[in-house]
Amino acid sequence: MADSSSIFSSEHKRLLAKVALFAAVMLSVDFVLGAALAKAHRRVEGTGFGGGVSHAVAQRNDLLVFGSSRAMSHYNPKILSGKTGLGAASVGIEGTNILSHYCLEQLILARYSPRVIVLDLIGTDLEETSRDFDSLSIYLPYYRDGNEALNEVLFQRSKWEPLKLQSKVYPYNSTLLGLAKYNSDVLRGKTDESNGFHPYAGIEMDPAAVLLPARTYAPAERERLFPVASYKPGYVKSFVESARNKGVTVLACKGPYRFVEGSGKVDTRPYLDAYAEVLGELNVPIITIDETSHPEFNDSSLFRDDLHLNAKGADVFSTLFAEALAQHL
Amino acid sequence: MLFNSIEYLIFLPLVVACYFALPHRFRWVLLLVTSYYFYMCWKAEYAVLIMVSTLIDYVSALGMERAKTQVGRRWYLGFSLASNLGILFFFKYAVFFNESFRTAFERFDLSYGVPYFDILLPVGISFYTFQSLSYTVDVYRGHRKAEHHFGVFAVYVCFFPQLVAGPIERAVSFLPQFHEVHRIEYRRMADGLRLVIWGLFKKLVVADRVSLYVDSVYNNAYQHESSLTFMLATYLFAFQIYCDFSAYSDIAIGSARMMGFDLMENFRRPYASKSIGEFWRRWHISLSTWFRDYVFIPLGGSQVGQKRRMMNLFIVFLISGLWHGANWTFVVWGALHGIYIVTGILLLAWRERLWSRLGIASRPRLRAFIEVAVTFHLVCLGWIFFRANNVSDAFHIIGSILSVNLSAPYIGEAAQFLYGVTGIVALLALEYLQGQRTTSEMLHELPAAGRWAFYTACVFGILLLGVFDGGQFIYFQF
Repeated sequence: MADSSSIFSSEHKRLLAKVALFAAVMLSVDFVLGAALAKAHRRVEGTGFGGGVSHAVAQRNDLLVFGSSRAMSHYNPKILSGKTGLGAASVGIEGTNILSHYCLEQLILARYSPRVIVLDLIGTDLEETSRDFDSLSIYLPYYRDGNEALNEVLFQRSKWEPLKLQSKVYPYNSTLLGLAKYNSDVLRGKTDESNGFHPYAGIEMDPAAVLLPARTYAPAERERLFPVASYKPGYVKSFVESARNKGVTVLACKGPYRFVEGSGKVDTRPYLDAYAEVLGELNVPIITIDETSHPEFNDSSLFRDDLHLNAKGADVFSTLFAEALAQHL
Repeated sequence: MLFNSIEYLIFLPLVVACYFALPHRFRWVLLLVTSYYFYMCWKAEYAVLIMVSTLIDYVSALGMERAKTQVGRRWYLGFSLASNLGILFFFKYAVFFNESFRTAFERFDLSYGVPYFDILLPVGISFYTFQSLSYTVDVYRGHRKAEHHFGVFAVYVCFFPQLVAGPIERAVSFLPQFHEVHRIEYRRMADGLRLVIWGLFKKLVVADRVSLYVDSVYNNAYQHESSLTFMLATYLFAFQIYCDFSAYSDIAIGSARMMGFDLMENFRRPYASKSIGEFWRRWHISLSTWFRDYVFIPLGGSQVGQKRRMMNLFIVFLISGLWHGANWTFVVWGALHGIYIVTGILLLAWRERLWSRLGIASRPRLRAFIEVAVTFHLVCLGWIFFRANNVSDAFHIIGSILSVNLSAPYIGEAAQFLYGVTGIVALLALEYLQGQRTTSEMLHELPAAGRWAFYTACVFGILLLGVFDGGQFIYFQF
């Protein structure tokens, strides 16, 4: 049977036509849907609330606290403002690390310069995890802002990220529910007075559990057992220098933990020693308000779990922190 | 190279275009080169293993054909079986048995002299080994002649769409297709592309999305207490593994169909099964039929007494469990299904009497609903072992479920959870509409507006809800 070698057969033409039509339809839908999602996103941005990044980029406060869920739940802006006289807000985002803090900082510094930035230290910031760059998906909607520093980090998500970002819909991956919720809130005239502070309620750990004392390791052993991701100290440095280049004062804070025996959780406090070394090289002052410096944090009723204070603990912490912060200003 | 990667989305159309641009007599070269390239993207050195298996079985089949005596034929078959299964055993089970023996010896305070060693499992070894073995057995049985064209045979073993996770094809139906002249057919191209798109949706939107929740529960089994948490995680895993595996099959079948090859159907709405026996006629069909034809039937099949038959069935499922992985969880999973099958046979008459007594025999829809629900839950019980990190975790999870602790379940990130559930609802809706048709048939029979709505929904579902860094397919580890 002879091969069909002509590229002009009717089957070829029909196939090529349908492929072209498919591409045209998909591009059109991508354009229209992307525009609608961008509009929904812009509606939330600038209202001062909307969770995470949207809230943060609307900030104009003088004092901002960066970090993950600990930054979000430990630092009460009202207490910080009361003691320091500075407008304060938390821009902590749950489940993020130094890469995210850096991206957020770039977005904020592109809009204004706060007076003070506080970086809440958590061990997992420097730990290498397989999802380090995945969590940066929350910044994809800002790809088209033209922020080079941000985009340089976003492109490291995968080698195909620049291609994927040509889609106007893709940046809104996994944001549909959030967009729907916050757009609904905005349209109903709701406001968010939290300033990014979302304390945790209650206690989710056994108050009688035996505390796991913090261990100190020799540097070589610490590096072996708690290896720091090679690229992360560089982001810490970039975070600090970006702020300082805009005249922002940068401080760090080491807060309390309550690791207990038998919880199955990994005690990541040794990473904080590595963090302190990196910040020491950058001459960033570290304010320590933890269970070693303040015995009140031996009270289990202040903690929700091994990593987080509850609302009561957050107020205690914020008061102590604000007093210490005021001395640095 | 993963199917759910941009590399594959570039690779596939390039290969298809080159395939049809080439004269038929050179197409096997293209498929051989691209298939080996596809495999070597994972780990280049292990392509040697495929080549060794290919050579062994090519030579064995030719030897069988030329052998003048039955003894000679058996010798070649034995050589093929021993070599292929030996390679499979070494790479897949040596570490497992070594560590199992070590544990057993240490339990009795005996010294165990064999040191610990680790061997990287070649991806797809279980699949291509079985596919290649089926060829030599079929030649031995006289079901087909030996393939004389080494290149064509090599492509049969390593054909990239189904190389690493099936469907496990049979030489009788698959090898001849490489000698057929394929032309571009619009209908095949469209069918193939639809299956690829649907497979990507199932993998990225359902399987990988749901896995975020399932992993957070199963990988931290001792940190959860609510029965509802484990039940939710298990139900979701049932859909995760179904979507993950069937997605791979859909993409494999779709990719092959674009080039004119027909691969066998591998899944047929398995969770609509009314019995475990039916489940295995709908789930991983290529594997279950392989075991039927090459293990169960040689053991006597249904031609022996009931006791022997049930023993054979149990053995088949035990081996099937072990085939899935070198872990006691898979052995328990296989044994559990073996027990299900045997119990199902023993209780068949009793079940019929029960339905009659309950008045359900005359209410087919209610009966079907109950049977589907019971079967689904029996399968889910097995999935607990399949997914758990070890047998202890599995029993802990089962114990937690049976404790009927109705405290609020852990949901994780609510949005992630809801996205996953949305994907499952979309899947179930499509399968309901599918009825007894295959996915291809259903999509082909939709009006044009329906088909385009389907394409748009899949593509933008993937862009908006897909997890892009979810990683490889579950069955790659087998």
